Amino acid sequence: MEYYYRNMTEAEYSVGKELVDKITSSSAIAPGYAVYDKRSYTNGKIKAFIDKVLRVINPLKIIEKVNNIAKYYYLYITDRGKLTIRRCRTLFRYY
Amino acid sequence: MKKLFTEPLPGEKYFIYFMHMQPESTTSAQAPLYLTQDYLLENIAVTLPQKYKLYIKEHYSDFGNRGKEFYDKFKHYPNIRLIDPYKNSKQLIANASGIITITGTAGFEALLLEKPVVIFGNVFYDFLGSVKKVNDFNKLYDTFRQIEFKENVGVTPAEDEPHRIASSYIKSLYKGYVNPYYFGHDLASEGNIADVTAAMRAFMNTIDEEKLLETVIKYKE
Repeated sequence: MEYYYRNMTEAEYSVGKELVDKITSSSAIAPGYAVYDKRSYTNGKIKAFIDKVLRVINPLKIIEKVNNIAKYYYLYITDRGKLTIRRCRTLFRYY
Repeated sequence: MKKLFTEPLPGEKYFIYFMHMQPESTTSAQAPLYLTQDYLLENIAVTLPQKYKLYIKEHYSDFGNRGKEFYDKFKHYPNIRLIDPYKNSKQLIANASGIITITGTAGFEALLLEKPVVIFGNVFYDFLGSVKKVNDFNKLYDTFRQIEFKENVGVTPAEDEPHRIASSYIKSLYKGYVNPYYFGHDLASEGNIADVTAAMRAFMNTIDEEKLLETVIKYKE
């Protein structure tokens, strides 16, 4: 985000105008909340999703890619679904 | 429990702190030094300039988990007001003098509403000018005074700043759904798996390996 923020031209500001207008004009926090339905997703469905992703992208391959760095960094999907790389101290956390 | 929480008072000047649900990555991974929120809140309460109240809004998903003893500590602070967890956050942000959060997305929303934000951890919007990142409690007082000064003088961000923030945020996103709760999409569908895996690959390509390696070497030393 920082890269885009620093390299953005004024003409490109319109991309975010809609989001800002939505937030400043309605009481909704985020448009996604409107279809929030926790019951429709079971742990099994979430697991199936993660399994399918891991079938395409092998986390160990990613670790190979960063080679030396792999000892200290690992990739994970957080409990809110964000994709993050984190520094770690032991190899155990890869698994 | 509900008796502990009150409504905001009209006309009162306040900073609002949005509590984090715990355990969660927003604190455990992004701000592991700030896991004890009560300790943090007590520090904020004693450093906040006198004319402001500190409103604390409990995370509605965590309401009831912390127990009465947790909130009882704040009774001793005359400048703390516990706010109903089900109050409209956007309204509270709009009327506040500033927002305090460890790494919460409430901070991002506050930026779009042109409010100053004080944060303590690593979060995607922490590089922005309206965001004050506090790493040292000794600097907390100065941070609040700066915000107070700007408020008194009437300094506000540039008119199109929220558009710029929102635009760069949208541009930095990858296509694909990974959050099962907020969207009515089938996460495990072929199309979504293709999007998510492409996003992961693209994300990996943005990593500056040499820079990471430098950090690792520094870390080893």
